[in-house]
Amino acid sequence: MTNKDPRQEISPRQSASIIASTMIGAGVLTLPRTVAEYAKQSGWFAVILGMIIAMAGVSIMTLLSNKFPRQNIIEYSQEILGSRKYKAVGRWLSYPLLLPILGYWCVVTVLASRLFGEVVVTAVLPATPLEVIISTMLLIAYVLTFYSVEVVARVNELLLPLIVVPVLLISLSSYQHARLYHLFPLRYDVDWSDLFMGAFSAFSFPFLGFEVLLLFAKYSRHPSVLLRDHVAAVALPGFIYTLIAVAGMAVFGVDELKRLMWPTYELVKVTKVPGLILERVESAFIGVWVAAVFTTTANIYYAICMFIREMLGMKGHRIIATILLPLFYWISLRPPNIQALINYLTYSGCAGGIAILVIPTLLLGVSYLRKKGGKGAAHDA
Amino acid sequence: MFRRIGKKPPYKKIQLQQAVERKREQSMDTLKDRNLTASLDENLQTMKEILGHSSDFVVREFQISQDGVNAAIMFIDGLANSTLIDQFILKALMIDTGKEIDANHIIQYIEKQHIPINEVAESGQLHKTVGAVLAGDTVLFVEGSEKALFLNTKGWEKRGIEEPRTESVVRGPRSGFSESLRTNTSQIRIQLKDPSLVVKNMVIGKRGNTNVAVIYIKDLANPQLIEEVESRLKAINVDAVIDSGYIEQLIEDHHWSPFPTIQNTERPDKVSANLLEGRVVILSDGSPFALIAPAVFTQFYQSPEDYYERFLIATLVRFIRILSMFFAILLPSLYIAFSSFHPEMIPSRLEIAMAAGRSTVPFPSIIEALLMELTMEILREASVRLPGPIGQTIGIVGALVVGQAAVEAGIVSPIMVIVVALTTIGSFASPSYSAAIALRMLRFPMMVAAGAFGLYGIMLFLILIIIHLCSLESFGVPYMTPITPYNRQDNRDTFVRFPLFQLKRRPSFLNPQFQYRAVRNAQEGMKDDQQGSQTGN
Amino acid sequence: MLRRALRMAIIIGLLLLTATGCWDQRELEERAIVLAIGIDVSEEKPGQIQLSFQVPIPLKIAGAAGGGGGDGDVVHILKGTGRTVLEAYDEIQKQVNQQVFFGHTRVLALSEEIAKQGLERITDPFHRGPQIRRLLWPLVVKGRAIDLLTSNPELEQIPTVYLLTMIENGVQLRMIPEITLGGLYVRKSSKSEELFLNYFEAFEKKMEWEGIVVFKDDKMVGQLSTLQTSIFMQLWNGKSNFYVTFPYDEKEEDLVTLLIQTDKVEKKISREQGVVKAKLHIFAEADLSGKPFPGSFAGQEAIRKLEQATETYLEERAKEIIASLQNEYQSDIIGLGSEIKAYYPEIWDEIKDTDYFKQLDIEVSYELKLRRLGMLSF
Repeated sequence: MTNKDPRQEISPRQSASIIASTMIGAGVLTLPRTVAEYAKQSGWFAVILGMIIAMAGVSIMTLLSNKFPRQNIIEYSQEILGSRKYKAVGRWLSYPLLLPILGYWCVVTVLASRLFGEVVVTAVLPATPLEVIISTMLLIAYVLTFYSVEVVARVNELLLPLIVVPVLLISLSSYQHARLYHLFPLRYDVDWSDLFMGAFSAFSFPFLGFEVLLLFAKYSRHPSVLLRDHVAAVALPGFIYTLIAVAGMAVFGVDELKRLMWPTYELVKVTKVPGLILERVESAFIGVWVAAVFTTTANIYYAICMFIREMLGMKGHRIIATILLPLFYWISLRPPNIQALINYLTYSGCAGGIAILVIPTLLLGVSYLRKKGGKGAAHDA
Repeated sequence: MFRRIGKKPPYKKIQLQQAVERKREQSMDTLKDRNLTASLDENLQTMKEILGHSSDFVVREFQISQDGVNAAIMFIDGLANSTLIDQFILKALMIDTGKEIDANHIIQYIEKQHIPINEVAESGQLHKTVGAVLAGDTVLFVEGSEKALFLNTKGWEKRGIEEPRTESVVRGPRSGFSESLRTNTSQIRIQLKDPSLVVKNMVIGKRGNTNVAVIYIKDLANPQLIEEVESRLKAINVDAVIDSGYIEQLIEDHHWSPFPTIQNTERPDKVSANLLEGRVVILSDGSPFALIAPAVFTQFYQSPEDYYERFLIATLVRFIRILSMFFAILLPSLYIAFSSFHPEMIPSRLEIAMAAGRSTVPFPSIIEALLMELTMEILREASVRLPGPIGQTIGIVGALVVGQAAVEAGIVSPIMVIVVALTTIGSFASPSYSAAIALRMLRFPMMVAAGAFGLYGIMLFLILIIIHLCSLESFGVPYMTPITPYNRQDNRDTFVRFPLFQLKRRPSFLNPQFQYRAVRNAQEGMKDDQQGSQTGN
Repeated sequence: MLRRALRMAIIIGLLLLTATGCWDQRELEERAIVLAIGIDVSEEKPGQIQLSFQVPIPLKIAGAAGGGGGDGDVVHILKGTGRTVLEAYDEIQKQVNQQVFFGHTRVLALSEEIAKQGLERITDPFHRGPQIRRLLWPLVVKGRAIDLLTSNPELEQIPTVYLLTMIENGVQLRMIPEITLGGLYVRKSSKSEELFLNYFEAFEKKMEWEGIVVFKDDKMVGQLSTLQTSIFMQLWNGKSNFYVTFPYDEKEEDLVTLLIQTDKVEKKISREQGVVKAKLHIFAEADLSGKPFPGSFAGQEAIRKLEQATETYLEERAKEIIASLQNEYQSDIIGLGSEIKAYYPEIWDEIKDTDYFKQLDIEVSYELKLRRLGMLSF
């Protein structure tokens, strides 16, 4: 159960599970509306485009990680940017480059828990204080930081089907209320710039999360097959998101959709599972969604701890985790109301999205130029 | 800083005290340095000092036949079989022995020519001599010999082979282990007549000196696993191994976890099957429960019966077991969550009926649930203590009667009784008692979580359990294998049970030396033979 | 080891602290379950809204432990008045010892008055509230909404359940259009189709479905009878089953009844000489259900004649409906606007800000096939 056990290994399937489950999180609930704001009734197509952007991002990161097997981004970015003689140069150059990612992660963890808390307080447990809900979620995520990377991988691998199957079932059964004409016209009043704005907004919040692989890929057992698995791991949330976006649009239509705060949740409320014991499935959906938000929050929390541990050269990250816990809690309560929260999310999402795309590409490019690192696919365990 | 809080003496001090005590103790260790002498009288004296305080310690002095050499045997009455002693030792030595024998070689002479006893050993060390007597051997001292002869005369009353009481099956062998180690190992040998089957003996327990057997198939089990098991057994210390449960608790990986990481069973067929997969088994004398290491979570709802029935039935029955496991842990919490927090999930008519049922109940539903569940647990414990059929009846009837009476008294609502009944029955369906207990116990904190946060609380606690399960390892194998880390081949036998002839490989997480089992059904076999004869062999 | 145990203890302690509240816990019997909501204009305080809730009394319901087989009312009606819906709700909550719970509300009844005044000020709190189901049935009641809540046909224990099963049955049989609260929201916010709601009349021991009520923007402007509603459903999405009775061969006494089952409607939009034309072609199948006069329908000619007669009859009725919708009500409940918007966006762009529905040239044609004559051979 040590954190630096050198023999820790993650299988490719586990690595993919981590990516997929980190991506499926708080963004699910607002997705149909945010893309409809830009791309109107073709919002679902913006989701597909967002997925493609995410796949590109994942591929760059995987290639980068493959070039430096058994190293995480802190380690190899020093190597890329620095010189062999003066280690410090590498550090001084790479840290400022990586800090935006760290900052973005902190903000996202916090805001996602806050978003989660807002939904629960609005729709499920109205009388429970928001602080309690956020703190319980952060606490459980904190508990996960005690364990090794292998345990994190196993938890993700176990939870992923438990999250995906119900979400798929529910989004498929919501089609019984779909009206086809809500989805048309396809391209008439929407042009490519709208679609790309929509795609980027889809990418910024619901699709982000795969970048944790920058830290987890270090423990991969078979780096050479990772690319295929990682792209598939992005395709899974992409597929689900597309289904949900289509369903949301088809059931509600653009005008109504824009009014709904949590369209996916409303979608679930409309779903009737015929003949079963449960009349309303939304509480079951909330249960599943708790697991989804947990994997997102806990994975990124863990990644942050690993990140800081590497930067400061410490051996264990329990202290970091313990310090961060009250800090995160405090930050999550900063936004004064839900509109402010959504604004913060949008801004940080944008900034984060850009950082996630640009920085690894930069590093990859420099590593090719300076001929650092291995051949990538040829390097295996 | 934390140590001052508990005010326990620091570990070093404990060690010191233990060392002091050890010196004063008169256990077997203290005899280790002493040897026998050539004088019969001295040896007799020594032995009487050590064991003479007990009335079942018998000393029989005699002379070896016509030579007139003084000798004596010692044994424990009750442990040693008197018939064997009379017929094959005393008779053989006192009556049937002829010739003159040289005093120096007398022991070897006797051993080779005059004692028709099947298992003999000799030693000059005192502690081994005492150990042999206590184990049921008869020890033969001869005047002039520094060594004593240990003759196997073990024969005491034991329980015969009966049906295992905790693990009954509908189809399958009905013999179970008993308390005798040799009988138990014999039952395994009957099923696995393989020369590679190793039964290694160890003596564990400072005062118990219990024989513990480590069993494995030499060319199947992973050598690292074997070594790990053996070194753990060598490293533990205990007064006596009264039941294998002591060993289990001392060698297991995670003592704090409610989930067992070592399996136990009373069934030899289960042991044999596990040996064939590459696992290591520990049997201890005096305990009918064998330990199987390593253990993973999926084994705890699998029963040997699954493999004797055909695959469709076995798969369906397994699903029912898994479902009942979920019932056992989730049902009361779901009831609490739905009725107190999320009544919109219940169909409207049912909800009105439930509200009507609850209108007389003075407690909130969480208290109601806790009360009923606690009562069920008490009833269950009680029914274990009561003998035979009375126990079973009390369990079932008691529950129903108590439930009905409680409903009529207006203490609980009718739905609660149904929930509790389903939960209890659900927990019986798990074939492994230790795992079932874990689930039973866990439903109480889950009820508290449900009572605080409804469905959200249930999910949080479930996630905590999952994190815990994923962090467990049993002898190096992750506990949740093969669910995670996922292994497609192994999953042929987790939730579903693929047909026998398709279970071609041994579980990979055990890293056996030979991956493939020998399994082939008639159709495949005949086809192979045909092809073999066609291609000319 | 000790450190880890201590840390675990801290966490569990913190978690337990949070559990001391169980803030949201509320037992079933502590909730007043509202099964149906009625909204009227207040008679005592003009200009205000009167809200009424139908709440079951669990003790009186048969099947309860040690109680039930109600004598007297199984449900209780709560009333409150206020300037807005929420004010009225507040007043009701003050009267009740339990917390009002809307999770099982199945029916929202609006009085004609309220419907005519406009729905905007009614629907917002329902839209915003998390407990209200989107699958709830909104209805307009002739007269006072509260009459629907007090009516008790005595065939079911709880009147709302009776109403509910009546509607669900009707929807399943395709005789009543499926317009739920969710559908209401969607239509209300859409610029290309108008709202309609089911129309009920309530008596002391009877509830009757009377067709639908037509809205323009959010105000009620008219109604369609039951037969007209069935035909409207054919125009809307082509799913409609109903009996039609009409005089055969211009003999007023010879009334033939057919069971019409509609499967499909084809909508074709085109633009001819500056006018937008909509052609609706309805495919239907019919069974002969009743012919209480002599004469035989055996033979293809007779069947064809009957088919044509039915087609003519239905077309005439459809024209009547469209005329009143277009001219009298000026309300596009058929959803032609959405059709245009989705599949002919260029046309929609031009007409969307106008009163387009009035200017549409709508043609309706039927294609009816008489399949069976029931259990008799002619």
